[in-house]
Amino acid sequence: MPFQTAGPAIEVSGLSKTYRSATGVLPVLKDVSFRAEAGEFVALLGPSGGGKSTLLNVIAGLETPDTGSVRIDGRPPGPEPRIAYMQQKDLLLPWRTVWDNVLLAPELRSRKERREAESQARHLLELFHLERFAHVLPAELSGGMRQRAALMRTLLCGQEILLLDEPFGALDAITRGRLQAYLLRVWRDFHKTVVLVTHDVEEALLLSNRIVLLSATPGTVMAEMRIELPHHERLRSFQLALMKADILSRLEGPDG
Amino acid sequence: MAEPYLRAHPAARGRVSARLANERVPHPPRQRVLAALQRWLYPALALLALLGAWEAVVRGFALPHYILPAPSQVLLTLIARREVLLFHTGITLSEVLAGGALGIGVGLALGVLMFWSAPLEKALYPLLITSQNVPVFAVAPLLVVWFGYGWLSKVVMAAIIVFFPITVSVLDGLKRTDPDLVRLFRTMGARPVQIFWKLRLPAALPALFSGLKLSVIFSTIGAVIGEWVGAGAGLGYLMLSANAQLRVAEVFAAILCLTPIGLLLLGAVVLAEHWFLPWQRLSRDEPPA
Repeated sequence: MPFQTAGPAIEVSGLSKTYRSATGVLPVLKDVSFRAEAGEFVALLGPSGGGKSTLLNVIAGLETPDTGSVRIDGRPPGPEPRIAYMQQKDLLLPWRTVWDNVLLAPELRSRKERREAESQARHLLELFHLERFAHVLPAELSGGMRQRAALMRTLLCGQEILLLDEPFGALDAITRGRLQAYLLRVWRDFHKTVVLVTHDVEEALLLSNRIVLLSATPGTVMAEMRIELPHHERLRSFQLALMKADILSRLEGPDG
Repeated sequence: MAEPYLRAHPAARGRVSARLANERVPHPPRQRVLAALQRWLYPALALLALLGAWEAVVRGFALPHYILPAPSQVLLTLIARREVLLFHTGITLSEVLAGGALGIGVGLALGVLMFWSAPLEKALYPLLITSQNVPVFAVAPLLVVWFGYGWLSKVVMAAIIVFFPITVSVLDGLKRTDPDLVRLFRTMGARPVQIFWKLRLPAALPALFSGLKLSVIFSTIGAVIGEWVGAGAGLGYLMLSANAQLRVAEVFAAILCLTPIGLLLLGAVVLAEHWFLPWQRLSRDEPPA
């Protein structure tokens, strides 16, 4: 249960980003700073459209900030991948079977890496209860199964840091609950650092060690709260119910 | 009570069939046979009626065969002249295939090149669009001058008509790759070449196949136009010479030989699409819950 603290896996400091277009300027992030220690599960919680996805894109190296810096394991994001990235859209390639989809990242590195990843893929298929669907095309799967396959592919990227952008947002409540359990198990078993972007207060409270509360656009860090409670006690916890009320009142804000 | 669906009270039928559609219950065998029959039977009956009326008009008004031959006469000509027809069909088919292959090859190469090079695209795209407004008939005589009276000028003619839909569909397909997928590949450290081969190209295949379907039909048109302008063999040549000698039944027989070329090629493309793009078929169905 306790995670090792070997220095920050992700360090974001003073990040600002403004989108400029012909019709005007839209500041999306304003002086955002936070850290995620190695092995930590951090939730970036905030209202929809609060620049959370932009923040993930900057961390992933897909966008550059106007000011501020990002450090991953002490170094700025470079061309070589050091994070695994997952979205709400499953983004499975429709012409590849589940098996070929989940092995995409090692395959892009080399044929040898793909072969080496296959035994782990087989193990994960069992863990995710997808072994019967390995050679099936994504179009034949349900939404929950597709998202499980996408999570598997994210794990098989072989990175220590997972960036998850509202990964279960499109699923129904029951399927979402099941996927959250899978994610928790993966985080624990494989000792990953997880940064989860979500607008679901309960999801953040149930899964993370720490919540970074972001405001509406332009996104700034309003508060950080640590959750010490073990995961299995959280559903019935009165303390979490109080935290939820607190977060909701902060999110509503003065103009809510 | 093997088939309760069919025995349902007429008033309940709509409801039953709506339920069947919603639950995607496979049709019982009898219904499936009926559906297949209806799909083939009705057009076949319509065709037979048309041919019957045609035959009746020709016989009733005693129309001379050089104005309009009866269907029976066309059939007899088809049988009597089968060797000549087969020979010319072979020539036209070879022109269609070679022209189609050349046009598809050039179209693919051009589409991919224009995708990789933005300046090339900017330079060529307007020219391509403009070139499509020149009627192919206008170019055909020039092709005869440049490539001769024989086989090659028809192949080039077909290729000229074929390459355009291929180029446009390939370029369009390559450009329309989901940007989120491209970013996913980037976060995985994919090189541009890998993004092209493993993502953009397969994602462009459905667009390419729509272009291919147009192309195989255009290819036949191109070859026949080429033969009309000047040729010593092929179904287009046969039509013109038979028409000039008022052997109208033979013109019809030649048309009958031309039709299956296009249909067969189109069928081949549809079959290939079915085979190579199984995910296209699946995604058209609703996903299982």
